[in-house]
Amino acid sequence: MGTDSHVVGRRVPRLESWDKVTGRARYTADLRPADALFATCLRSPYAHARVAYIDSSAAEQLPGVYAVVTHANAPEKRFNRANKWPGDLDFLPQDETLLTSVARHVGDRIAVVAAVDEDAAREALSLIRVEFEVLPAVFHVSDATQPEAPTVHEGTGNVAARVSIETGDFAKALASADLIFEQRYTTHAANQCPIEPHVCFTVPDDHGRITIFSSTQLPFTVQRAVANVLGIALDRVRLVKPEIGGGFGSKDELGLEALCTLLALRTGRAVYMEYTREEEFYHSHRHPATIFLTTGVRRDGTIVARGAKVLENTGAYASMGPKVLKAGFYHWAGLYPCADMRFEGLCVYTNLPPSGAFRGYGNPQVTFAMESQMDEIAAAIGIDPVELRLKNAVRRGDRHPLGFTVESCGLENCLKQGAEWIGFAEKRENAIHVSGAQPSAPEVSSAVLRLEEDGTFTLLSGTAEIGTGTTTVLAQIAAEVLGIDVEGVHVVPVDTDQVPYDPGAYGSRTTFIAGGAAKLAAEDARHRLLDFVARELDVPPQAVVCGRGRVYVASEPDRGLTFPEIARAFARSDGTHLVGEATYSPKQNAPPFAAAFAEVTVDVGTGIIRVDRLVLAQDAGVVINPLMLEGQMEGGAYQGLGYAISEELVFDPDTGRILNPDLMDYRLPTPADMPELHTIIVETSDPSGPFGAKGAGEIPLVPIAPAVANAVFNATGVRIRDLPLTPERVLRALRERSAAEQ
Amino acid sequence: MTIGRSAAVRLSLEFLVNGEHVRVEVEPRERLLEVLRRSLGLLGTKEGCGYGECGACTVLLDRLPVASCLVLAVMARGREVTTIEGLGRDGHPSLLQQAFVEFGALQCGFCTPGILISLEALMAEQQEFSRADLHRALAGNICRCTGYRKIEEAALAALETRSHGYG
Amino acid sequence: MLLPSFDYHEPWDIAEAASLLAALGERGELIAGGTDVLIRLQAQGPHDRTALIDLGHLRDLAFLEAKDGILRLGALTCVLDLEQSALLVRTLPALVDAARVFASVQIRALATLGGNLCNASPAADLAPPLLAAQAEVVLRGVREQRQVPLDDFWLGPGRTARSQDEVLCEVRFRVPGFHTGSAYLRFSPRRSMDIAFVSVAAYVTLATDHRRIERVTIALGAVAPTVIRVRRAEEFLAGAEPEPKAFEAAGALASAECSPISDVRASAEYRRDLVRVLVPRCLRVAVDRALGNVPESKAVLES
Repeated sequence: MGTDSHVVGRRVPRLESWDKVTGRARYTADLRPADALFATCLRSPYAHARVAYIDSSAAEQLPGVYAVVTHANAPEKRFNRANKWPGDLDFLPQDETLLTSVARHVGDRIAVVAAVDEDAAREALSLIRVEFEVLPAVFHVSDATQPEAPTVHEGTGNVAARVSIETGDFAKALASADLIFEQRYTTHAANQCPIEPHVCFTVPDDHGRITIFSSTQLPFTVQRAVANVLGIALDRVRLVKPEIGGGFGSKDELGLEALCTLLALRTGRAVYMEYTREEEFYHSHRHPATIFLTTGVRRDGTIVARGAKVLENTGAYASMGPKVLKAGFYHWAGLYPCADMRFEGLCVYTNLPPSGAFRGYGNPQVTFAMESQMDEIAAAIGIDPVELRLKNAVRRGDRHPLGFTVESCGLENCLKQGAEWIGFAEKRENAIHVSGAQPSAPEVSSAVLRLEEDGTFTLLSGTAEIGTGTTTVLAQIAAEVLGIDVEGVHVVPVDTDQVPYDPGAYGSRTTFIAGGAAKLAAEDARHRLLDFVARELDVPPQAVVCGRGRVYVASEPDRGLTFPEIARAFARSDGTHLVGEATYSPKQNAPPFAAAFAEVTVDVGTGIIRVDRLVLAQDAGVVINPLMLEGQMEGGAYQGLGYAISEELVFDPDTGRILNPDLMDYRLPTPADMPELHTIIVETSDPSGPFGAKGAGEIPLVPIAPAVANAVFNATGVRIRDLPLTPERVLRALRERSAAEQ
Repeated sequence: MTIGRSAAVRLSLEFLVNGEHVRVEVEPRERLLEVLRRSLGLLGTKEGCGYGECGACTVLLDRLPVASCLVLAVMARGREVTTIEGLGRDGHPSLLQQAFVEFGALQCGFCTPGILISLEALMAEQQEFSRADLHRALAGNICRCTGYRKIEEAALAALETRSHGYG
Repeated sequence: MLLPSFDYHEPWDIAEAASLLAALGERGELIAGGTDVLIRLQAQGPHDRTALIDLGHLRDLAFLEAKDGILRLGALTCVLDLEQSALLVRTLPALVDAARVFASVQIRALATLGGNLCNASPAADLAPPLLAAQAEVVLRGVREQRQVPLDDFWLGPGRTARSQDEVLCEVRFRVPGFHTGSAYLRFSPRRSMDIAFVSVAAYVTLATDHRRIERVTIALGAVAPTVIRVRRAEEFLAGAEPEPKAFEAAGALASAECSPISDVRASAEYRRDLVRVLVPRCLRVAVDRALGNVPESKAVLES
């Protein structure tokens, strides 16, 4: 970026910091109207069951109950909770209804009650009489893909989606390899665990409109989803996003909003719904996966053939499963590009609760496999693991499987600097991993910048701040272009009535795409400022420049107007605000890159892994705000650590229930468990991102698990190919190895 | 309101909240958490789990950090409660609050009030503290966003500032 | 989620509490810190009606003192006070070990000794150290007061020898002499805010010349329906030299003597493995402390 930037590249504290450290920040539950009804769902205790009989009359008659809805009187529209507009209605299976008469997972929604308070609502639930006809259920992909397996969705097989991609001639290339490596890896279900559970409330007005307040990552997308599911006109729905207490993908889909809106429409009252922590655990989780990798290499370590087969357990409803599967392909294919590759993937229904988006979105799974195997290959050939990666990794100028050219790639420096920092060459008790997460498929974002009378700018963007620092970064970008301090840009809270369209916060896209829109809008505003002042001063437009809150003649700096003066003059002459706006739809998506190095100690008596040190080197292009980027890196590493060694949703093999839907037995790392963490920012610059920036939010999570698994191998000689690396699993592996040696 | 429920007993509860004397009528079943939030409008304290694991509901009770989702409001009778709204002095933020902002020790902010309360207790209790003390103090505060590193840095920085006599 | 409604009583002394318990029968439940009771309450059905008897006014049940060679802990002593007690560091450091890993500060500030023992979880942290110290509890009912050794107190998960009308008032054990040491080790995957997969407490008395173990008690948690003593391991160590081989042998014996189950946390087999590994480690610390606990030593025991 250079030293001439005045706000981009600075460690600006997040704009809403003071609200958050004083308790003034308002999250959805804080805004709950005092007169809102309380609503809650009746959920199936069975993984697969038909509702043979349901009688809600006693519940309806309970004083204080305003509505009871079952499948019999609920909208029947089939949808996919992860629909994004416009393409997903054709691409994703539309396999879900608001309420169901066939429960397909434990927790599936059978009925919903709205009552005057929580007590009445829960009592009403207990009065709904339901008889279930229990059906056979499947929980494993291997069972669900058997010919006689019970089907999760009547009339369709259990394969929700299939991906089959081949480039070149994989079989031939494999045959030409000196060595072939074939391994099987498995990954597990992990829960996003935002500290703020899903929550929303809906408020009807007197004109047939509903305002939804929701803890969601996708204000506009959910607005459309609600309209779609309920079959009402889009302009009847307004969504306002308060502060959000974390999402990480759990809120990257339709949650409670449609149900809550339905109840508001039916009762004419405001309605409030929230998840208990247990319901939060049931909502969604990372797709468990089995990954088979077949890799052919030459003796010198050059990869000549790459094959992968990925089996993904998408649970009872497909949600974004097919997209996660595809994303897995892109991440796997893009990191070590090879002319001859074959990828096969199956997205499979089972009667587990639905899988969903979780930071990384298919990448952590395939990368755990891929990067573990790289170390296995390195060990077998006798080549340094860093060297093996440098030999085969994607480089700047390479063509990405998605069809674009990789225009920035700091991977080599990530590897080299990370290795040097942790002392990889000397210690060899650690391991590495690399990953190229990418923002999601091309879409669109719009931004509007409005000059106010006091000379500040209001920035309207539809993207969602969920705690990642998006708002701050957008303000910095706009401020940089306009030549003002970041305090001169106010980003308004997202309200679909007020701000322009943006699909939401996911896929590491907000800095890249929403930031891109903000930059263009700021440039548009600056152009208009220059134009206007040039006219006012009667000079050619090229003669004026913008800086330090003024627009002035470059050769005569005293001749100019301050922003407040411009605002007033513009109002007098044009009768309105000066506004800059832009819509941004990038043609390609610049992948970020990262490498992680882990140093571990394994207690061979108990199997416990202590990660002592973790080094994470990341290339996010040009860094708009290092403080925010470090936050994403450290937080991603934390979630990656949990994914690697302690977090695991455990399902009962007979009933499909979650056995640990609580924060005691779902083990998030505590502060005492954190390793010494060192982050290295490797700057590159990508022409497609605002000021050269790239996405950053997901990738820091991705390399941690394979780094830890590789380090465990280096420390103990034991290779474990199944996540998470719990103490029991490690001890068993150590035992098996000792037994085998005897 | 509902069939079968006997008329709710209400007890008078007087206690100190953020230095102010407060009197409310509560049912025995009301937890300190909702009395603070709903009866007193102190919305900074959050509910994240309801069973004392996540720490988002942490407040000080007689200067000790407690999980307010597991405290019956009546148990606070005659005692002193401090919430996030009570940190800082005379409208000035505390050293910890300032350090949190400067060091970026927060992201979504949902856990932040509970974490600040736990750390304020530590600052008040100990002249000096180490990282191990921080781990002990924060064991019951889950942060899903930050990985704790900047939180620890901010706490140690606030300690350093205090030891130099500033604030 | 809100708590369900309940009847609420505030007795002013033990006698009143006991009478209430007798009168309310199965509906009545004592509440002290509330950290177990209020969680259990959330799980009850909408038509259950519990009566909570709040012990909060019985402040004379919160004490921690040594008197006439007996260490007495009031049932309402909160776990934070146990953690910070210099007296316990000197006399039963195993209990301080346990208090240190007990949940979080926010829970320790509320949770009480009596509550933890009466909750009767086999994984309760405070139980093994007190069982290893061969402590007894004092129970007071409407009519009488009695002492029950902890050995006989826990009957199964969630069940104790407490009668319906009895209040657990205190826990007491002999103040140890010199050449004794105790330790508590808990295995859980995380370093804090976790629950025992397996826990071990050892209480060792060495001969005055430190060449052999005079007597040892070992208590295990989370490997049986209650916290248990492993007497075969104890008998093996009596008179033995305090060295690694003996400790390992004791670990093997203890592992065979317990009856763990498989659950979401761990398999039974893994729990047995952990017992085998943890018992020697715990013994080592207990013995180290015993070695340091000598008449000439001026230093306060480290824990």
